[in-house]
Amino acid sequence: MTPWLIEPSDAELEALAGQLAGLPPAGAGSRAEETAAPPPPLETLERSGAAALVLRLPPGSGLSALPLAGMVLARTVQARVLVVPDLRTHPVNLARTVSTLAALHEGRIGVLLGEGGEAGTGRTGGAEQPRGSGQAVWYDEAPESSAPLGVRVLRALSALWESWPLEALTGDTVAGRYVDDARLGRVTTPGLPDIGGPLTLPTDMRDKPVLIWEGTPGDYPWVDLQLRDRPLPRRTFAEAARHEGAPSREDAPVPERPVPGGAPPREDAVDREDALRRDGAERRYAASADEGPGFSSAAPRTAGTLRWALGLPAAPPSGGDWAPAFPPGEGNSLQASR
Amino acid sequence: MTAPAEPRAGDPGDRHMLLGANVYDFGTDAGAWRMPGTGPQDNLTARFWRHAADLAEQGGLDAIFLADMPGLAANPALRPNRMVEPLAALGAVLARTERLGVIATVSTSSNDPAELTTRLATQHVLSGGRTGWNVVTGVPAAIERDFGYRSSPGREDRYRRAEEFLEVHRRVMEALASGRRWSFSGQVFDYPEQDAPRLPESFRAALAATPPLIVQAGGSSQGRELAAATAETVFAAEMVKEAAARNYADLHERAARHGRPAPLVLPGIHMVLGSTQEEAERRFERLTELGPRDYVTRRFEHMLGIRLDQLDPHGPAAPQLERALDVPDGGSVGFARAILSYAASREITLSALLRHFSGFGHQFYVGPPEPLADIMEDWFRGAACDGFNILADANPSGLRLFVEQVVPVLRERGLAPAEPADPAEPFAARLRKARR
Repeated sequence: MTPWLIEPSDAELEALAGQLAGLPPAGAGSRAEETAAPPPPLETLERSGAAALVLRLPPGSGLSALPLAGMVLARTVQARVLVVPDLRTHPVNLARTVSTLAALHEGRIGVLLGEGGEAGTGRTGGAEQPRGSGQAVWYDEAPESSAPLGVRVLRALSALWESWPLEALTGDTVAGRYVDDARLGRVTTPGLPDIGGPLTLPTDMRDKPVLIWEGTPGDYPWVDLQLRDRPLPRRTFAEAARHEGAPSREDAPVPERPVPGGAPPREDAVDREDALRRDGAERRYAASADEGPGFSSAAPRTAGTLRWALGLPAAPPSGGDWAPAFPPGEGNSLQASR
Repeated sequence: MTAPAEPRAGDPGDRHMLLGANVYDFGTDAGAWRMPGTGPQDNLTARFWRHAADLAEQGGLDAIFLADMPGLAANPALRPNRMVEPLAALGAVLARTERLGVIATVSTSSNDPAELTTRLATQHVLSGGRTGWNVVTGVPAAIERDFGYRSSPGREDRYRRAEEFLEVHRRVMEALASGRRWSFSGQVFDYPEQDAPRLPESFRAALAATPPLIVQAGGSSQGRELAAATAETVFAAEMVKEAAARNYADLHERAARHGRPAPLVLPGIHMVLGSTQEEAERRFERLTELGPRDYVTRRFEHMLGIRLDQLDPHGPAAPQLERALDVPDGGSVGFARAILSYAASREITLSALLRHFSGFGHQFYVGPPEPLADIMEDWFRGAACDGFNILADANPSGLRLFVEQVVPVLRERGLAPAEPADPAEPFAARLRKARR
């Protein structure tokens, strides 16, 4: 089965945000409207079978896709998100956020970028520290700019996740060695040469967050999927709700967000959430391509991840330059910090 | 008839102390990740954060606080620390709870203020008004280049940027809440006049009613002034009650000069608990054994910019440190002051001070619950603070000990509320109202 995406309309995005916030949707209140209202977005998402929800905010929106993604993931057990980040977010901060969400929520996240994000406000320039505002302040000195900014950012994310591979986290409690620090590096890319980490947390190389490019296709081997080459069907929430197998309003269990004055989280929902996560962990790397719903093959992936749902193989390397972050003999292995 | 005396600035009256839990991943002690029952990847799971959330909320705490730096401040080979991105991890905490507040540390030196404001505002409304932003200015040297710094920004530069950053934040937040156009032109940031970012009306109303809380942690002169001018809560580093009371009064005076209520002051308190003194000491010894050798010593040297092998361990600590102290530019003046103040007040030797430094500049306590409650009560009633930020030695066991053993004592004494906070009043609004 071809994977497909939910790409909400602007109004549906607002409805999703309102549901997450526990705020009533605009125009709510009348009995007729309630009867005609579509099922709540989270329930539709959780039960739809969609590979992912695309969180792409319209230009000028005051909402931010990253906390929306975090809250969607925290309040669902199976739903996956493709976040379209604001490029004013520095790649290091973006890489940390996505890696954290991937770790906490079983790899149910990826990043989608396209063209059109190049315009930024200008620098005031000439200083020893970044000045000005907007995304330009992070990016305007890239030595080669033939690739679109979005492609370069995707490559930087891939490189940053390689700066601390999960395998380096040895966690040897007997010897007291937490990390094999020889495997932590500064991994820089030609497109964004000053950005290379290392990050503050590890990323699982076998289940790296998915990177998708939807701009003009090119030779970008660090990208998992180029949508113009292999487009994925998209549905709005309304279309997804009408899609065969979508839930009715009555049978859509989603872990509840506690509401002021309401009951604590339902134990059954929490238990189910934990059971699903345990189950996912036990099946770690066991899923074969045949089990996945996607169109590709090969490579170990964890069932339930976005990579698995899209049928993608293990992530390609960023191809960036690598240098040890903590060279042996430089006396910094005991440098203490809190 | 004599008129009632004016209450002192910090006199708690019938207020309760505020309690936050500073969750340093596995715990404040370097060996915490090796504690029995702890897995090395626990902090990378939602289960870990949900557990911390449950302990804090069910234990009657007000907030979970996450310290952070945008890059590695040190080699993690021997101890993990501050790994997860705070806003992302705290999303899992918020989704699990209904009353608990969360405070995320985010640096002004590594973000765009307009972008960060929309991120903070979104998380805040999605949580029902339960978030705060701990404003810090640092970037670890190893990653400065990533953020466009050609050389290490000095304290003056960082605070100049922070002041403008906070002003941009204020204007964007106001635009989000009101829908009105906004602009900013300064030495560091420049935003031409533009429409307010678009939000659903219900989001605008929620932000207008309760914007995110502003928290500050700097102990330098610039940090204190910034806190007085902009913050609503301060996470303080204090080891001596008298010094804490002086700083508390100073902050109230500074805030009054700015015509605003003083921020709430929550000093950190690093604790190793046991049901008896012996049990707590055994736990402390065990944690020390599990930590890297000489970790505390090296940390002490690094933080104060000194070499201990050039000092007399058996000599008095204060005069030696005063002569040798050389806080690095990126270091914490607040922590250094707290340590010096502690050494001077106790007239202790350098080696004795090192044990107390296990609190890393915060008050350090090893012992059973009752004497800890005595100390907390003394500080709270003595106009030295409005509550505490708990630094458990190891998570989640240390946090659980505090909740199970200390909170009941505080409740018995009327220092902590017997009933949970009313969720109808969001965390940010509740703390804002508690200021005086």
